[in-house]
Amino acid sequence: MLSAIDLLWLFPFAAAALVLRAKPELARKISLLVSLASTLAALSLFASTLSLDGPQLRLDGPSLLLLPLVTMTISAVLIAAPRWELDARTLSGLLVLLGATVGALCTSNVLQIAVFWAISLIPLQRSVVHTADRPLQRAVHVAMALCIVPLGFALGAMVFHGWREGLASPWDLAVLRAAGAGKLRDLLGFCVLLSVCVRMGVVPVHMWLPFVLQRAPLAIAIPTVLSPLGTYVLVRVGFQLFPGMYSAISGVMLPLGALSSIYGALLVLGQHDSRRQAGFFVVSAMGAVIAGLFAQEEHGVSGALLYHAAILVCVLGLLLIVWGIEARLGRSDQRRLGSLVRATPRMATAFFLLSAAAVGFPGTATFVSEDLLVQGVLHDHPAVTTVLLLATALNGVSLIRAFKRIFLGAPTVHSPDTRRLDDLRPGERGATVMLVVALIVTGLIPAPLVLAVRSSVAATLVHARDAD
Amino acid sequence: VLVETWLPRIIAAVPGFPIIGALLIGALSLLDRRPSERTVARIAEIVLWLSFFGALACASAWGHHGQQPIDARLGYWFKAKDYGFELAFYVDGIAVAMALLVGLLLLATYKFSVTYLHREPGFVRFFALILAFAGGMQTLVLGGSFDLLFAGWEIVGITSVLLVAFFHERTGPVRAAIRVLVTYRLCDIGLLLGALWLHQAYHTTVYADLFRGPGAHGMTPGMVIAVGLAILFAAMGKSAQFPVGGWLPRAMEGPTASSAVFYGGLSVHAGVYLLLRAEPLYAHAPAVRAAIVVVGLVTAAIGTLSGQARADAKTALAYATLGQVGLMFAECGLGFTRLALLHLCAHALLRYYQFLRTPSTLEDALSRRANLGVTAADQRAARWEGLGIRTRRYLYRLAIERFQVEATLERWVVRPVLRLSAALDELERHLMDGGPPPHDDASSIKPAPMVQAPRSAKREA
Repeated sequence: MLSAIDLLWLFPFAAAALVLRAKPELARKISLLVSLASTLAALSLFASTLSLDGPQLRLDGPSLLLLPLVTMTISAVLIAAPRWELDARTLSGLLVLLGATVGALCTSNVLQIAVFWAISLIPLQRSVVHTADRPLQRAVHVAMALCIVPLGFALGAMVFHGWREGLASPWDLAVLRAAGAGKLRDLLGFCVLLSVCVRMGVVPVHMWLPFVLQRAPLAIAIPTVLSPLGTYVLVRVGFQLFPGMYSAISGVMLPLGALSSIYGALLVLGQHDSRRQAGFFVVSAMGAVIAGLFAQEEHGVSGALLYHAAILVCVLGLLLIVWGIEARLGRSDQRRLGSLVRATPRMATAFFLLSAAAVGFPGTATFVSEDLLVQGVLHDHPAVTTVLLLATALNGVSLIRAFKRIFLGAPTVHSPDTRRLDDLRPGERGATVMLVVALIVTGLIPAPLVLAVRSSVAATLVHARDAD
Repeated sequence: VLVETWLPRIIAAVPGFPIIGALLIGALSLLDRRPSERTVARIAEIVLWLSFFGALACASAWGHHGQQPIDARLGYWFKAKDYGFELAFYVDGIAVAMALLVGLLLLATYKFSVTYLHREPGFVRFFALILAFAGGMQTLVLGGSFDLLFAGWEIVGITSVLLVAFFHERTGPVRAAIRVLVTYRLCDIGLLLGALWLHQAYHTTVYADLFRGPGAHGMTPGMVIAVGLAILFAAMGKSAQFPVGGWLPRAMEGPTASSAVFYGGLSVHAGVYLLLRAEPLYAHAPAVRAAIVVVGLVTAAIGTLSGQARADAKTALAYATLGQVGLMFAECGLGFTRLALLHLCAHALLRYYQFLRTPSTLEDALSRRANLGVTAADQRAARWEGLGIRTRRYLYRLAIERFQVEATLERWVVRPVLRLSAALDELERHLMDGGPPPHDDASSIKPAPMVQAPRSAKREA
């Protein structure tokens, strides 16, 4: 039975069908309108839930936090993207992605989550299928298979098990949680974890992520790679349905998170291509998120969710700027850039602020969330904390170095001609200002965000401990 | 009542005013019309004076409090269950001396820079960064917890990096700034780890709670050494101590006023301040104290010898600063904290003045010689005559090569990390692509090295 909240995902799907038949300018306007309306609705839901103090409808802390993030990502891409890259198929893909992600965040039906999870990957597949890049197509297909099949199998098996047990609504998350996973608990839990790790880009199943970000069309690649669905499914489904198993493997997942974090940071350090660098930065950050989540401690899990949200905002902003440079100069290789600040001072300022925020500069949301995350992990795992801090330091060096290589320094023979280079266009400026303001405001006044995720995180952890 | 209600707000205003000023200048410059020099200077003057008066009020309150430490708390920045980031301030003799020194030197910097940077394209940027630095530095010295100290520490670090790259249209300053950044970021891990271990041991990093209670006695001996060494590592980075001090001579690429206030006056002494502040924690750990003394003395020797082999005034001053700060480290390690504080204040004032005078070094030297004739200071090389020619040559070579410290770090730390990164990247590309990336026509471009010899060394070579 559909309710008012389902309009949040139904509208984007309907609009996706509509824009395929509309004229290009009208299609863009429809897409922008739908995404902005979704953002407003998501922010209203977040604000209203804060005042009501507790989970509402089918939303809980993580979904309330991640909903505005998803809608904001799509809106920012639509606002800042070069017009010629937003053809009808791309716009439709973006709206499908929006609908599918919002749909997965707004439901407690595990089958619906699995279906939306799969649908959210289709736009990426459609965007690369027409390219002549065979390795890219292969990477996307393998990643899709590893994302969709294990999760679909696990959730399907859970529902089948519930149905055989005679449960009234075997697809409902709360019902399944009460019933337990049965004999195949470990296998199903592993399947969910595999899909989540692939989606988040956790080492060693991360390779598709930087590759796709480097080679695929950015309009679809950005929101797909930056989708928070991996973390969401882990917290909402994995921790709820397999609490005992996930507690048991935390001893493996925490070092894996630390490894992913330092591995990503090492690769960020050696990159010349800004898009690939952003990809490895996401891998590094997701390692920290995994470590925070598997610390199974309230600060760690809350911090990981907030950190994920903050990092995605930072990377989104950085990628929009890199995209802007690429659209103007046709290159994202830092060795062939440099001294852009004279022509694009606002772009340089925004890039610097987002880089500083990405590495946890005080006064930004990343600082607060990183502090919480590290406090959560530190208690029982000081070695993991040390590795995470080292990775953060390396990432800081790499990102600020990238800023200097792109925007500062004397022009060389490889530097582009910047005489006719435009600074941020109004759309780009609007999107980057929105992201920077969001990072600073939530960094200076973090209490509402912390409050929003805390209650549901605490409930999840209590359930996990009971299951133990 | 004063301490509980008004004093926390007054103390918070000391770093708060400059930060508000920096944000205001930043907001104005983001508008389409660039603010005039007069407007920027007026904003800077007002907020720096207000901040200085705040520092004076803190000193006065400390005096009225019987010169006892004041523990003032403003509430929590954020709180989650049993953990919260407390906005605590701590006013004692060290904080008062440092806050007044910071206020004074920044007012002098303002006065100097308004004229010195007149019509410089980066005038607005310079003042925004100086005000941000003022806020960060006052947060660092008045903050009442290692958490808040870290926030100020980070602001000081990032403003330092940006001011080294102030003349960003040249390659040298940009490379120097990257070098500063790498050292700062890696050494900041020490401060973070120290703070986290304190959290683990005491569930707080607020000085008043740490120092009032059992002090370091509540921790295991191993934990005390670990925290002490972590804090030492952080202090080494910010104060350019052996073996991570190679960034300081390079940092002279920024404007004279920022070099004076950062590397003559304040930022370079932040490490000494950290050691003074954390002294109760490592006071009963001889291993940590010995490490501090060794680091300080080795740096003092290297700084003094290397400084004497430099040809340009700014670099020679930078090495002289290294030497003096090294001595301050040794004083902290030996437990002479009052002497170290006095040394810090006196050295900061003298060095600040010397850095400001460097553009007129030649004029000063000629004028001195005209009035005093040739003095012992002009014949510094004569001091080496007591040594044999081979020893002198050997020492000179070591000094000119800065004792091979950076070359060793480059060979054994930086290059292996970069090689590992390149090897992993190659593996990833091979697995995903089966070969090199398409359209990679930039692969022939040699990237800039992360470590670059300073200008003076190049000239000498």
